[in-house]
Parts: sequence; C-alpha cells; structure tokens
Amino acid sequence: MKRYLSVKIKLLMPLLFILVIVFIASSFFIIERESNEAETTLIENAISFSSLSAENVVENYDLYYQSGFYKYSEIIEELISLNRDLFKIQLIDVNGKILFDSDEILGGKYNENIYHERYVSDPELLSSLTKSTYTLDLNNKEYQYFMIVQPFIESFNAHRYSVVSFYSYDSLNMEVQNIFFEVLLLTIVFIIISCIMIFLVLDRLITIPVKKLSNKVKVLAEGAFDDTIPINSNDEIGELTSSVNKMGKDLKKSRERLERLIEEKENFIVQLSHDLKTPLGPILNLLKIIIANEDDKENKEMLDVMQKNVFYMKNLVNNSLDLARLNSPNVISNLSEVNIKQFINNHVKNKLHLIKNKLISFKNNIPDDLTVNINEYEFEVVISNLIQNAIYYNKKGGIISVNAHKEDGYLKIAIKDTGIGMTKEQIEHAFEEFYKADVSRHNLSSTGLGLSICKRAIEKYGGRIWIESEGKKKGITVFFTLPR
Amino acid sequence: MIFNIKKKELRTIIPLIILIVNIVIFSGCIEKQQNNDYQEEEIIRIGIYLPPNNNITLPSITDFDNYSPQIKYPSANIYDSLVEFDEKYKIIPSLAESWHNPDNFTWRFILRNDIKFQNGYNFSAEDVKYTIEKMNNSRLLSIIEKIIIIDNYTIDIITSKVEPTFLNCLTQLYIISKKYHIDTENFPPVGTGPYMFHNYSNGNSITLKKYNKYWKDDFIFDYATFRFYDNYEEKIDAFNLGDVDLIDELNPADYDRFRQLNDTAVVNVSYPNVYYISFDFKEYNKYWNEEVNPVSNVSVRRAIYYAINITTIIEQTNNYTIVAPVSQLVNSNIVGCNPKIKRFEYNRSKALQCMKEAGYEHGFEIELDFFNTTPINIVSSLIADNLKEINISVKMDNLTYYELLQKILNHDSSFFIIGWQMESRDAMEIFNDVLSSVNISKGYGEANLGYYSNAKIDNITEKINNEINDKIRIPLMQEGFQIAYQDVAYIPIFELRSTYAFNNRISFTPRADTIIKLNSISINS
Repeated sequence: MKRYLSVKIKLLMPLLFILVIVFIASSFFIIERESNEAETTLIENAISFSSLSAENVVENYDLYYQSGFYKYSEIIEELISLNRDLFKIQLIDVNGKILFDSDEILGGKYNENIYHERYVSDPELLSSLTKSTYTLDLNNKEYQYFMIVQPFIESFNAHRYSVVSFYSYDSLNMEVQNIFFEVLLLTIVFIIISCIMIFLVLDRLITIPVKKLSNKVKVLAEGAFDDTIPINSNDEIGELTSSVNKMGKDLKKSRERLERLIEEKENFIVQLSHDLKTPLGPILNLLKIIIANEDDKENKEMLDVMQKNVFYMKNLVNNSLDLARLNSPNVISNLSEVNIKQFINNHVKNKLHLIKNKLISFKNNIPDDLTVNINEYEFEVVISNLIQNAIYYNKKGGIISVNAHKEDGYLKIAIKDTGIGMTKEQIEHAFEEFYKADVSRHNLSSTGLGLSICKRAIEKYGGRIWIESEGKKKGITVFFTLPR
Repeated sequence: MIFNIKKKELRTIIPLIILIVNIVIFSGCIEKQQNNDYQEEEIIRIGIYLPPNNNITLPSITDFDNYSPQIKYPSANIYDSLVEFDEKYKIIPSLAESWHNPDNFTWRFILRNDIKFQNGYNFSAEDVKYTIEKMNNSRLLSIIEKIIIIDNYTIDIITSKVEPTFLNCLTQLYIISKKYHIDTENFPPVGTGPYMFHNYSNGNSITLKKYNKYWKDDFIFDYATFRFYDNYEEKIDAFNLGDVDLIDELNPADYDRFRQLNDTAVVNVSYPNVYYISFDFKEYNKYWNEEVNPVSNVSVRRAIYYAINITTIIEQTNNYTIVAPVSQLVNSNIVGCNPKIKRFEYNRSKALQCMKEAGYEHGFEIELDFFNTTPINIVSSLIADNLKEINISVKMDNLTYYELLQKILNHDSSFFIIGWQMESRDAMEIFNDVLSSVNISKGYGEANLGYYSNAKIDNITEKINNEINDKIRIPLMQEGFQIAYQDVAYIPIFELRSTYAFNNRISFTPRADTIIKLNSISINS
C-alpha cells in the first residue's frame, strides 16, 4: 500500500510544484495588472475630481478668502472630504505664489504681513503651473502621494491660477494589499482544489490500473493464469495491461505444456525404470551364483565390481521410481496410522548389522504413543534414507538419536548423528536432486536422490524438512514435521 | 477678556438688577450643597478671567439667554440649541437633526425624538416654541413671524422676510423645558446638554456634573469647575499651583514663558473681538449745551483717526495681551470683510488739517469713557496723548464695567472705547446691531450707542437681510464697511487673539467662537 501511495506522491509532487509556480506567476501577473489598473483609475478619478473642483476652489477663493475665511475653510474642508484620497489643496498663481493652502484650515489663515509671501520651491511644480493638467508623481520611500496641477481657465480664457491637489496613495496601497490577499487566498484554494482533483485523476487513470496490474502479476506469480484485467484505456497502461494479459495467457500455455512434458518425463522414467529394473533381478541373482562358483580370485574381484554396479543401478532405478511416484499427482497413496517409535525400531532392526559394524549406539527417544497417519511405504522411504545416511556418515562408535514431539499441530521428528557434519553451503543444496556433498560421497552406495525423495514425501503431506549442523565433524540433525 | 459689550449683555442688565435681590438667598443655599464627593472622580478645573466688578452671581445662571462670562461657559455645556457652531463657525445639527425650507420664509426643523432634559422631562417642539417666546432677543423675535408646531418633533419657524443668517441666531438659543421653567423659573438650571449644574461656590466658581444620559458624545470629565478670577496674577498663580488645569487670556510674556515649559502647553486662536472708539453722532447733547457736538463732525472724527498712533498702541498693549491692528470691525475670517479698507495712516498734519477744516483748529475738550482695566486704561492714555497733539484735550473718565454699561446704554457718552465680539461668521450682525440706524421695532441698531445713521447703510442693511446669495451680499457689506469707513462711524483699534495655557494632563483645542465646550478638552494618555 505504501508503495502505491509513494507512486502517487511521486507523480503529485512535480505537478504540485509546477502548479505552485504557475499560480504564483499568474497571481503576480494579476496583482500587477490590477494594481496598475487601480492606480490608473485613481489618477483618472483624481484628474476628474481636480478638474471639477477647480472652479469651486478658485471662485470661492475670490469670494471668501479675504472676506469670510471660515466659510472658505468649510467649503474646502467639505471638498476634501468628498474624495478619500485627497488630503491637501493649494491654490497657486502662475507666478508660483501660494495663495491658499488647506493646511490653513487647521492652523488658521496665513498672515503674509508676518510670515511673508509663500512661493513654490519645486521647479517641476513651478513649471507645471503654466501647463495644462499635469500629474506630478511623488511615489517614493519618502513621499507616498501625487499631485494634480489643474489650471483654472476663466470665462474670458484667462489663466491666473492653478489648483494643486495632493492625493495620497494610501487607499491604493490598501486596495493593492486587499487584492494581494484575495489573490493569495484564491491561489491557495485553487492549488488545494487542483491537488485534490489531480490526486483523484491520477488515482483513477494511473494508480488504480497500476494497482490492478500489480495484483494481476501477483496472481500470475501464484500460478493463476486464467484471470484477465479489463483494458479501460488505450494508453501505455492499457498497452501494459494488454501485455500482462497476454503474458498470463502465454504462461498458462507454457505451464500446461510444461506439465505435459513433466508428466511425459515421469511416465518415461517410470517406464524406463521398470524396463531397467526387470532384467536387473535375474542379473543380480545370476551374478551371485557366478561369484559363488568362481574360484579365480581376479575374476571374482571383477565380478564383485560388476555386482556393486548392478546394485547401484538397482538403487538408482528404485529411487527414480520413488521420486517419480512422489512427483506424480496421479498417484493416490493409501494412508494408515503408524506408531512412529515402533516403525523406526522395526526399520533399524533391518540395519543392525550396519550399526554394529560401526559400533554405533542407537537411541530412540520417541514417546511410545506417538502416531501419524501416513502411507507406510512413503514413510519407510523417508526413514530408511535418513537412518541410512545417519549410519553411513557417522563416525565409528558414534551415536544416532531419534526424538519426536508435538508442536503447533505438527509432529516434529529429529534424527541426530555424530558424523562428519555439513557446511552451510552443503545444507543449502542438500535437498537438490543428484547432489552429493563431497567427493567422498561419489561412491556406488549413494545415488544423490535420497534427501530429494524425503523432501518430496514430507512436503506431499504438508510438512517441512530441514538440516541443522554446527559444522564439519560435529554431526547433523535432520528435522521434519508432519501434520497430526 | 478685557472688556467688550455685547448686545445681549445690554439686554442682561435689567434682569440682573431685578434678580440681584435673590443673590444672597441662592448663594446661601448652594453653599450647603458643596461637598467633596467628587474627589475621586475625573475633574477638570478651568480658570476664567472675569472683569472686576462684574460679579454676576448665581441667580443669573437661570437666565438661559445670558452671555456674561460666568454664564456663557457653563451654559454652553448645560444647554443645547437647535443647531450649533462647530469649532470653525460651521453650522451643524444639534437638537434639530435636520431642517428644510418649504418656502423662503419657513424653516422646518425635525427634532430629535430621543432627548430628555437632565431632570427627566421629555424634550419636544413645545419646549422650542416656549424658549423662543421667553427669550430676551428682540432682534430674533422681530424677524420671527410665527411658530407652528406640526407635531411633537416637527416645528415650523416662519420669518417675516428672507433671513440669511437665521441659523446663526439660533446657535445660542439654548432650549429650556417649558414645564420646568413654569414650575421653577429654571432654578437650578436644567438643559439637555452634557453637563448638569452641580454647585456654585463663594461667588467665584461654578461646578458642573456630567449628565450620564446625554444623547450625543460621551464626555470624559465627571465634574467640571469654572473658576473666575478678577485678578490676572491670581489666575496665573492658581495655574502655577495646579489649582486649575486650563486658563484663558494670557499676556504675551506669560504666553512665551509657558510655551517654554515642558509640562505646559499654550495655544491661541483668532478671537472675533474688536475694540474700537465710537462717538455720539448727535449734533447736540447735554455735554455741549448749545454748542455742536464736535465729534458729530466727520472731519473731527477723521482728525482723531489720523492722530492715533496705532503702532505705539499695539506695542504697549502687547505687553499685556496679544492684539493686532484692524481696519474694520471684522477680520477676514468673517463674511463681509472688506480687504481693501486700510487704516488711516498716523499723520498729525493731516489730522490738524481736518481739525482746521472742521473749524476746530484750536481744539476742544472731550470726555473719554472707558472701562478702567489694563490695558484699556493704557490705550486710553495713549489716545489722549495722541489727541493732545491736535489740540483735543481728553478728560479721562475711567469707569467700572457697570458704570460704563449704564452710561452707554443710556446713550449718555460722546466718546468711548468699547469692544464687539462676533456671534457668527457673518458681518451682517455688525450692520444690524452697530451700523444701522436705531429702529427698535425692527430690532436694528441695538448696539448703535451713538445714534450713527446713514441712509445708504440702512439700505444696505435691509438688502443684505433679504438676500441669501453671498455673491450679492458680500459686495454689499463691503460697500457698507467702506461707507462706514468714510464716515468714520468708528475707529477700530485692535483685535484680540484669544490665548490659553493648559497643563500636560490635558489637551485642548480652542474654538473660533472662544466658548469653552468640555468636549474640546481631552485627557492625555
């Protein structure tokens, strides 16, 4: 599950990154555009307002400034209050003399007799006084306002005064700030919605089909080749799905063919083993007679070698038959309840001469009442191989001990020897067919199929078999389990 | 305040005399009410200069139409009017939330319906009608033809003619409760304003208490005390000792001294108060027996004008209070001011020439009536010195406030110094009250104490009273001032700048009308 999520996130992250970049870029573009538009509107409105109010400022100046300053102050104050951006008005004549400054509303009428006449000092403003409507921008760190210089043209076309209106950028800054936060908020909302939508789309278009594919591959790996995934798209995933479906079909065909070949092979081996086994009986019997009747020592030795090889061939044939039998799904085994201790003791009796020859002590520690439901022949094959190996690879005067106990619904049986022991590598390959651990085992008494047969037999019953060894010359213990 | 006469003060005199009988009774009662129950509260103490011998005592505070210093500051905070001036003489709504004019003569006021008087009585149109009927303003009464109550909160005031400055007149029409006034004669005074009358102490202070149910702003101070000082040094000492937080009328030296101090602030504002010399314009009066009154001759008046050295007067006066020379009774803040009018230059030879033309080459003796207070007495002496140079011998008649008031009210002075404080920002009041020929029935010339009369000015007065277009009114008034100037209907001396000092506990913004309203004062954080 985590793997699928990470695929989604891997796909989502670059998309998210691109989205953020795109949205931020768009946002800045929108903010810039809106800000410029707001500034243009502010200046246009300011120009309109200045143009419309100039007459009011000038005519009331003529009427009231020298005769009713309080009234004039009130008029200008009301005029300023009509435009939230306007914070100051000056009436200046074309020579640059300041006739009125709205600061006088608060500070009282300017007294030229005491403080002398006031003149504009800014050369740009001074030169603009004789022009048509002029905008003087002072939007910098120190000042945050602009001025509109509005000439007042009187009815007889004279131009004596210009009205200079000071407009603050405060409301514009506030508006830009609001735009910024609105766009930022919308950007975040859009990014979140986009992420959710992309997540869902990716899920539907990529993650879910990929997950289905993955599950299909898992099922294929488990051998179920019949399931097919519906192809819902004609893209790469559709193509991949189609390929996986085709692969499933191909694998199914290959498996069927392989099963057929294995069956044919098994039949062939069985047939071959039977065909080989049939003449081996008379040969062995005849060889016994010939050896018994042969007096020539040299011939007798050659006949002994021949007899050993025939025995080996017989064992090989028998083991191959056993292995083929165990591999064949068609073979149905008859099961019977077997007392394990007794069964093993009976088997050991047949090998007492071998045990005595090597002075080996045999200890059967299995409880008397332990039984298992198993095919006797197959159990005999297992026990025979394991006991035989324990005797064969044991040292002279060694010990073979057999133990069994119940564990988690299984019977766990252990056959331990004190023989030559095995390395880890040898243990790893021990259950492979025809594997012989070392050169010393390349003799005619071992076919290299014993443990493979044991493994097949145990696994046929749902059990497990394994070897543990502390190393060379420290003996081994073969464990196997059988369901109870 | 040095001294100035207001038409309303003139009207106050008679009621004062009548009410003086009650002084002892009321002041005794009020003394008992005085206590210290507001020691823990926020209180503002304001020191006001009171002209000597102007001891208007408690009962006069019940006179809602009284504008003497002790009364006008408390009254401005106890009462509301239908409309009021803001700090720059702009008319703003008060008890009338709006008004409109169904025709040129009708002013329809829509009154607020959520107002209660400080004693809990409801405010209604009946109270407005009653107040107008009871007020002591013949000029306003003369122009009001009818009052019609439309409903409890709508009232029509119909004027006899177009009245351009009608709302100005209403700004100081403090509304009283009809029922309360009938029952109690308005004692103790009750209005709808932000402060209630609290007590009166020792004849020299009035304390107001905040009216917590005031309909408009929330005021800061729980109590406000106006303390009156008839001695300048005493007022300054009180401020230095922290007995008062705010004082008015500083002399230039103290103004500069307080300006240097870190814990004190000073502020000044143009004070619409002009001092001028006026005359008896009648050819014959009791002072000249069978002879012609010399100042009735325009050449003599011009001679006096030329003879006055205004520069010296301003320099000397500025040792006591901040003043500036003026050329007419209004300054340029007032609608109607004529900026072209300049003072007669100080020119002794021209003065002598005028005297010669008038036939007074050898001069004459005349009595100058003035209120004996500094710096008016100094100004009077300087004028006397100036006139001596043109052979006019001035007999100094230094009077108390009431003596002067009585004398000029009785038109019993040939030559006097007086002040005029504007009540509005329109010079029409000068024409109506000072320059127009005396016409009691029309309410004109109430402050025309020397019976000046000029038909052209009367004509202009009539016109500006019937005209609402300033483009027509202003040139008319300017023409009128020019005529008065030519006639030397008065000789303007100077205008005052009102000055204040206050400690760093508070901030204060003076009003153009110089009335101290307590919402002009705030506490510094």
